Amino acid sequence: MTEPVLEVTSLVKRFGTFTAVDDVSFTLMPGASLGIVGESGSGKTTTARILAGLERPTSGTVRIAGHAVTGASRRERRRQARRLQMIFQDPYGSFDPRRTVAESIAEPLRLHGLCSGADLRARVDELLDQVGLSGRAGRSLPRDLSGGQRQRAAIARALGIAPRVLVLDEAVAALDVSIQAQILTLLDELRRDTGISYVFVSHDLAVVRYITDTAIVMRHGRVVERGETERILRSPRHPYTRLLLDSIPSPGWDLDRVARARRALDASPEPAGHSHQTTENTTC
Amino acid sequence: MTLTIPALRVRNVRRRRRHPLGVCLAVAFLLVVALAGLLAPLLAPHPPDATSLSDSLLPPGSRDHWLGTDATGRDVLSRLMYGARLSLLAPLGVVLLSGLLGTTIGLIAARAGGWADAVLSRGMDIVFAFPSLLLAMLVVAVSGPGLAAPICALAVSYTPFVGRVVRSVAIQEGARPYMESYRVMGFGEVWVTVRHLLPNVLPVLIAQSALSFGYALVDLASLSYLGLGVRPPDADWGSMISQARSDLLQGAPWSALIPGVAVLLTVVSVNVLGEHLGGSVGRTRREGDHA
Amino acid sequence: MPEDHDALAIADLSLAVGATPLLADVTVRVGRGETVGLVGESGSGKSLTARTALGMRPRGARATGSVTVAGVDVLTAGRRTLRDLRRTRVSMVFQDPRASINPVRRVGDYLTEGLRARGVPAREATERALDLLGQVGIRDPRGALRRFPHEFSGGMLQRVVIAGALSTEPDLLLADEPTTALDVTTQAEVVGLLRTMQRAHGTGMLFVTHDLDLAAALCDRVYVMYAGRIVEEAAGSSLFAAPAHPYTRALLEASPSVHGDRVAIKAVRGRPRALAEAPSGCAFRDRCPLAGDDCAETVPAPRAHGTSRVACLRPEQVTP
Repeated sequence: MTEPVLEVTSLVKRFGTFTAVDDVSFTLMPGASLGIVGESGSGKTTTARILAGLERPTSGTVRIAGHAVTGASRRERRRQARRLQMIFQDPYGSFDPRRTVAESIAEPLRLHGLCSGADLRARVDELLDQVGLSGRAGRSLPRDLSGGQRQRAAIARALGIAPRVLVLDEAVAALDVSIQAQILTLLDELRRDTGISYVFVSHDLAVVRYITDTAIVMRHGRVVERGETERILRSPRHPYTRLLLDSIPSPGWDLDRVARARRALDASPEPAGHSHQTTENTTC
Repeated sequence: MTLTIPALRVRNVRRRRRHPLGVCLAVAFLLVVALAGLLAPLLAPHPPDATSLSDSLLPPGSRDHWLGTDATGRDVLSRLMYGARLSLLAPLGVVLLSGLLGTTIGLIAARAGGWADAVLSRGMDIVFAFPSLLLAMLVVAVSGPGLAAPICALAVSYTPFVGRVVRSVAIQEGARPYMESYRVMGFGEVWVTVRHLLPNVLPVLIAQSALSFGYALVDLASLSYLGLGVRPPDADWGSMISQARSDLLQGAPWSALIPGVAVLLTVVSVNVLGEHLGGSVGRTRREGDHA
Repeated sequence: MPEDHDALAIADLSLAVGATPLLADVTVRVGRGETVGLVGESGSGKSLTARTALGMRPRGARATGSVTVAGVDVLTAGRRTLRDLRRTRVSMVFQDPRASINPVRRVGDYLTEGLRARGVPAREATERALDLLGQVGIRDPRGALRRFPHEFSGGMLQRVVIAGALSTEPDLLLADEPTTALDVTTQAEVVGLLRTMQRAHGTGMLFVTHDLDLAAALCDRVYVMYAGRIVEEAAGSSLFAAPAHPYTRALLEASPSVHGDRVAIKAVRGRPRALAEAPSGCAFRDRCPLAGDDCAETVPAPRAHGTSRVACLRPEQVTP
């Protein structure tokens, strides 16, 4: 039996008295794709940042490819970077504004000693090509590229390190519909070709449905529902998941029902210690 | 309310703003002064310390002495050209030294945060509260006249100006997602700070340095005027003004006025240039943010 | 004022700054009490179109065609007329409620300001504000008047903005991506509120959005914009069933859906364009799978196809 590539156990993150992430666990198999769905304040982004080592969990463990993430030393951080990479929502902000895209892609390759000299240039060209960017785009500064092109470049930069897991934090949320589709199909192809695993953090159920096999739904820091994405969408068990689904605009949209459901849910906060989590034996 | 129209922005970028006339004049003036100082041995009509009592206090426009002479008959133009060397080099030293110190402190404070930031910031506040000229005078009083001591003293007292600007810009820039993305990629803190943060802080640093240069020039001239800076026979513009005090009483204002005007124009030019650099940095930053 | 005026009538509006065209031949109509969607991607000119209804144009822009709001010609109107128009006939709700409310003023000031400017006495204005806050579902309206914007969540603040926009009983409400910055569940509530309020007050609404699903679900009619032109006008209900323009269909095929069976999405190649960068003839032809040589010759004129009006030479190949 294959080992999971990512194992998250009882993750808790507190900021002062506020609990952003409350007892979150999941596993991810190689080549699989997991969605983390939730609205603002659900703790989904904090979870992603813990995975990437940008935040330290208050308690709980993260194991990537069998190695516990401690993030203590620089060497440890560098090793972890080889295993897990992250794509941010804002593809403009995630590049040094003064460096060309090709330079930015080459830098981590050099750091991790993956390429040097003439190989480096060839590898950068290969990566650009893999995400559908021209050499001309590579020679441009981030500000001269469109949002979609920048997100492609960010993906190329992450792929260069050849991580086992790619965490995507609202990676297509800022893009136009037609561009979003391009990036989604690109991500789909890459997963098929390279066997990379995704943790796809998003508020958009439709996008999550397209890009993931399994998903967890988070609310107020807790996992309220987990399972196969398709199952969650077709027969949601938690009232919050149902509310999320009903909130998506569709022909014959019943807005009054959404409002009623939301009020009912807000009025009955989940009692502490008791979780609505559906206990399911599926690995997700 | 701004309407963002991509096509328009493209045009704007292409039609690079021409530099305003004032900035061109400032740059031209500074170039002339720098060249005059550099080429003084070749261009100066007389040695700067050649006295000739028969030619004392000649007014500007005299034959052989275009800008006149002082009480001891030294050629004002030649002294002005030789004086430019120290008058420009000494502030440059102050700017470089304070830039180095301030950038280091500012970057460390911004990146380390926590108690290191608190200590460094309070330290800068203390130095900031101390009048720079007073500090320089104290140092000179202890170490005796000469340029090295006042340059170091001024550099220390200018460090908080640079440090504060660098710190605030570095904190702003460091909060951008790309800094985080470098951490995720496994880069070390020092690498990211030096390779990525510093270049993005540099433009602001340059603008601030230009302003410091102006202040340093005036402060050093003041010290020389007080007899605490340059020692004769060396001369800078401050000491020229100082030595020309008695000429003023004898009805010969030019030997004091001319170096005074040189100080004034240089400071104004440097400030105009600094302001322009700072402004254009702001503009490119905004354009970048919009894209 | 005669009652037969549309809330908004934009006819053959073209807009250019210098040699850069921004909008071309845009025709949009919003009847009284009608909800009309204006859908497009970035650079399509949808926000620009909505703003012209307020008389807000980019600096130095030349406009041809006509824009009338409740019978007032906006393009030729003077400063004073425009000000009166904005004060009484048109309101706008923006994407980010935090950016459109002065953070250092109390919510009560924000709501009564517009009324006071119209000469409503202070006491009456406060009563009216209380009433509106109640209508948009703010609990404890009296307390809310005294609070500052940062004490509200994004969704609640957008309700306050909507209350403010409707306080002057405008003929036309321009909503520019009013729910894009909000959570999905909040979006549903705010949209529901907008619709209820608009119906209760008989206000015409132009709903600008990038979200085709949202527009189709909410609006009576939807205009689809691409590169500064209207490419399709259709009833909200028929947009999904029978898209008439290849671009509309491409958008639908590119958006993943939670409904029905899981189907592959089809990405459109290239990127959305602004009018100034568009190719000759049909602006969409370089991305269109149906494009032929004839598409390059002239800009297709809008014509009826089924229940839609579409600017395409071969809509029958999109939906037979």
